[in-house]
Amino acid sequence: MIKYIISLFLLYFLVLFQTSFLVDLFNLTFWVIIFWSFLEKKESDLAFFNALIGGFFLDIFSNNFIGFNIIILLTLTFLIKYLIRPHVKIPYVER
Amino acid sequence: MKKILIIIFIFFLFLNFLPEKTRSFFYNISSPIQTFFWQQGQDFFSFSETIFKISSFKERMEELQKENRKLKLENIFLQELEKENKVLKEALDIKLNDQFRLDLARILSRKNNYLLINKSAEEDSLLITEDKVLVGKVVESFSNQSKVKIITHSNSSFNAEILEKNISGLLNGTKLDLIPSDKNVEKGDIVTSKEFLIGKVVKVIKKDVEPFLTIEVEPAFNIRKLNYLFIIND
Repeated sequence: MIKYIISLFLLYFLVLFQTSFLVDLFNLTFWVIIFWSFLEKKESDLAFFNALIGGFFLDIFSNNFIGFNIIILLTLTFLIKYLIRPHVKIPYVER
Repeated sequence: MKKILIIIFIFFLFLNFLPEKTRSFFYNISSPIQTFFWQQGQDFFSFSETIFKISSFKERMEELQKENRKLKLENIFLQELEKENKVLKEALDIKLNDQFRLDLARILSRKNNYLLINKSAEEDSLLITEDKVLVGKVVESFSNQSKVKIITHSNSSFNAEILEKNISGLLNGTKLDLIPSDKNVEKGDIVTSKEFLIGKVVKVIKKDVEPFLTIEVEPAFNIRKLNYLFIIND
């Protein structure tokens, strides 16, 4: 449970950092969530939680409807965890 | 856990029925942190810009020598521009507060061509800098913040005029439209809207088959270097 709460706060600060510091440089939050999906073990749900919360914060600080970034990130996380990871071996990363 | 995630997702989707209250809540609690990050971002990027300039110093020296030659030729043009600027400054050098009811607002964040400011303002209120440069228009208002569409947004449109040539057009983002191709528009022409400065013409394309000129305008502000804006309430 602790890791979910820590993740929630980290994502919140990451989105604030994104929108006020990095601005248009690149979407750090998006890439952190995608990168996490690649690193995480298949049985863990944290990547989906990150996609949900990260997407929600991105939606709050953007002009899209609430759910736009959530759907994109959840879809990508699903594709990475269930379609790419079982078939692609990434060095130094456990399946 | 998956069931909980689905419930949270549905809950988030339901928040679309109360988007203003939801966003307002998060903007309120985030504004001190966003102010800090925006300030740090400005400092950091101006510092890195300086570092980058130092590393390319030799190249810059050579460029400057070439530019120096060009500048001598452009000197005459600049003198004319100076006169033009003088006229413009005289026209604009009126205390802002005497003309408008203004509110000072701080920039909190930027996403694409939208800004978030720390004041609630009426929709369609204009935002200007202290130099009377038009920055954008309020498109959404929250309890303590407002969302501003910057004039460089492709969907933003303002009536614009080319100073001293009495040519009117429509500014769509950075494109100045609806100016007939027989009009004499040149690079460097000053573009204004109502009493506010927008920027200058950087590119003019004239095609014989098209009735209007394609004009590109460079805004007179650098959003990265702005901290405060004035909201015009009238």
